[in-house]
Amino acid sequence: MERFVVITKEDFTVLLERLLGAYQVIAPVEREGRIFLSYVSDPAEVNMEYKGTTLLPPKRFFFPEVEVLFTYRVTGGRVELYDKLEEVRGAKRALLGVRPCDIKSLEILDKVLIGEYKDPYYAARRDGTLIVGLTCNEPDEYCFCAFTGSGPQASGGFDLLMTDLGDRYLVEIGSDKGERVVNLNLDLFKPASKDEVNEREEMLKRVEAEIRRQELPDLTKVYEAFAKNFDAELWLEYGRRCLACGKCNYVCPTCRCFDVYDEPSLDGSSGKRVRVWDSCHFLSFTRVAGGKVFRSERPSRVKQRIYHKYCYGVDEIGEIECVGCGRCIKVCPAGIDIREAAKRVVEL
Amino acid sequence: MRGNPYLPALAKIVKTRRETPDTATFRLEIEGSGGLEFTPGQFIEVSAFGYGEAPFSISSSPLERSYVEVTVRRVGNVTRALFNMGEGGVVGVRGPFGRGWPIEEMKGQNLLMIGGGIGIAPLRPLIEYVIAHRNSFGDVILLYGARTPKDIVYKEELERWREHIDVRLTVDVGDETWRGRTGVVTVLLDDVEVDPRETYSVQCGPPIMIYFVTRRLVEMGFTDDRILFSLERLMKCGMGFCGHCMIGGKYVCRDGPVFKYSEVKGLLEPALVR
Amino acid sequence: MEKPKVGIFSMSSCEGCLVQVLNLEDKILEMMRSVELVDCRLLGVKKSYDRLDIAIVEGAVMSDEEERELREIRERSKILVALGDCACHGGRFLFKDFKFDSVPVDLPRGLKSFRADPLDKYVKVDYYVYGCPIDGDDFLRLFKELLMGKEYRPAPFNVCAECVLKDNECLLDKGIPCLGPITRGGCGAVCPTSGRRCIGCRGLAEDANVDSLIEIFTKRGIEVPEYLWELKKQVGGGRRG
Repeated sequence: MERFVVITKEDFTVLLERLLGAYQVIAPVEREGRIFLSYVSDPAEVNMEYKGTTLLPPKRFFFPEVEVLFTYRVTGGRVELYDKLEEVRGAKRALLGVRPCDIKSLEILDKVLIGEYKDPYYAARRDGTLIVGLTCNEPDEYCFCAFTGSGPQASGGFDLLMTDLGDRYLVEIGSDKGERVVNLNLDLFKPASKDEVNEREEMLKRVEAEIRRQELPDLTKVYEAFAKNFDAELWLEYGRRCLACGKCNYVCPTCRCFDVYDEPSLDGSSGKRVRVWDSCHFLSFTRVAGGKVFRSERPSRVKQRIYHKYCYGVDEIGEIECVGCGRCIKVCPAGIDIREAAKRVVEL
Repeated sequence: MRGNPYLPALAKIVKTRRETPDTATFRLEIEGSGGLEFTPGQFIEVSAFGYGEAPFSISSSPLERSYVEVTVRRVGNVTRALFNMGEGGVVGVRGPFGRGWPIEEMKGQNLLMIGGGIGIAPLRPLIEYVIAHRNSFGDVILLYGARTPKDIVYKEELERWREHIDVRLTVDVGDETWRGRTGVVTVLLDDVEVDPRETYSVQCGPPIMIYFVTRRLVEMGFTDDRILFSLERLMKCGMGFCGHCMIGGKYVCRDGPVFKYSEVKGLLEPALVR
Repeated sequence: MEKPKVGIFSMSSCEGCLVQVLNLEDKILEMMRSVELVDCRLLGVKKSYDRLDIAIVEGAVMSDEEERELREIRERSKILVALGDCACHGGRFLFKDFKFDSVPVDLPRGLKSFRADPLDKYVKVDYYVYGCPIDGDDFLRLFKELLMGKEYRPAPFNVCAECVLKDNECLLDKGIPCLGPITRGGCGAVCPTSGRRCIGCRGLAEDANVDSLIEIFTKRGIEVPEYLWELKKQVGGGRRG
């Protein structure tokens, strides 16, 4: 099988229809000018022409913001548990239109959540989901993936990777799963020409050059600079600006901290254990029984996220945990720019 | 670990023992299993269904496999629920999690154990192990500080332990019956004579205690790899996922809770805080 | 076991928070089965009793008579819950903590300044249910947790956290003076989601950073309202380290 095939945009609509028959399809949709990932039921809803990134990253489809882990029932002196994992298993989904930065973020989450311990909810959703990526033709002003080693090229982590070539898509096959999809729809695909493959390379080079117009250091190698400047003045400045709202965590494709609590029914005889996204910027994040808060001062919380991305990630999984998607910059009401912070740290 | 690590095993509270006005030891028997194998210093997550889950150091002897015990102070929703449930109550147990005391490494050495308040809980399994293998260790000293005489936990055990190891107590504030030392636990360190080159120091207690005791131990000549402590942080999942217990690239729940000072000294974020 | 005795009381208010409670319909009826409601004017319940386990009080204190009534409720109640913004903050949203003498609020009655005090100016309040109006499910959670002997904790985040999860675009970016960044969340960001700015009805968030919000307004050319300068004097940047 060829590694590259092409499909016309018209035929892609046909493919979408077929995918909708076989999978639950998640794809970029546009509503009131906002692009986000959503379950779709009609090819017409899908928008594969969007610029930059979706507002929220794909992580919520693998690690939802609210998730019931199990339910329980108390009767007499007995307790029975009902595992919700069963409901997560077996779903067949296709995630369409994810950018290389977001594909990389899923690979990072895999390393964290499927390691010595395995998060079974996340793992089950990952297992059951076909990843159909979409390279960036037009980065937005927040994109900096070229400096984090996570784009605009995608080196893996996808089943299929599409590139918009105007009236058709070039499709790279990245896995057996992806190959099966192509094989099952051979009537829609034809082998790609050398020119078409070259066209993609030219396009990616152009995109990379565009992103590299901002002058940033190689962010995969800033560990030492960050380590040296843990107590630098600039963190106080960011701490003064930070609103501790946690938006940066929620939109970050690799942030996965969570809180867990029980939600009992009205009469208390049953209930559920729920996990929800949490944020290291919240004052409550490090509060232990008895009331002590380990990161009570805001600069220490600002640092926690940024250092996790550029240093602790390296300690933890051997690579930085920032994929350069720029979402945290886009949503920060206080205009805290992680690129600028990293650049300043390196220049100190 | 097989199966779903978020799903607790069910356990029954088979015995409770009041330690102090706000502290009790709960004995848990895990349903349908041969008990729990653990290393002293490891912890479990205990669920009170409807109230949530909280981490507790295992405080019972590792030689006793049919049950585990946790010693709990009534400060939060889960602990209050445990107190209200009492004997016969059904709870959930996940674990054991984390890394305990490096027992093999400590064999043949003297041990200087320092416990503050309810922080003595994770030392209890270690002490029981040491007493059961008394010849494998040199001199063993336990320094234990509580707020007042009423706050001293494990009163029975302390008497029994005295027959095997050197037990010294202090309270922050004495009362009319108290004949022993007063002052924070560091005052007991002033009288300790051990060779730091042949001794492991082992501590558990509130952050402020660990902060000052560690400073004192360094002054006494203990090298950083002979200063061990169990750190307290919020631990929700026990597996290094939820993020709350992170200290500069390490997860207390997974990489600890027992650390050598040498392992956390170089972390970017300070592990020892006042 | 005897059922806990519960009373629901109103100080001066629009009773909108109580309406939220009644809107819970089946759920509130189920909840009420495990308690004995002994006093509630809106439902026409008035039994005789000495002690209350839980008193739920909505509304602000606007007269000496109400002040007396409130003190009396406190006297005989084990737990007192302030329900809604008027009870929590005197109906002045973010101003509660800042003891302003008078706050200009346009009233239909045409009063320029008036007495409207939060309950905790006079009595100890055990729990607060924030919002104008309150969120019914929030109330349900509090009630359930009280009956279970669980400690109710309000949401630890501010409005922005929930807003971004709704895929909303930030109103500040559109030049709208939204108070979401300094306001306690838990409301599901209902106002910003429907395009209206947050007016701070749940009060100041834990660790609210007023300094930064003023800077944000200024940078975006949004006029900084007078009360933010007042707030700045009192809390400034919160915990800045």
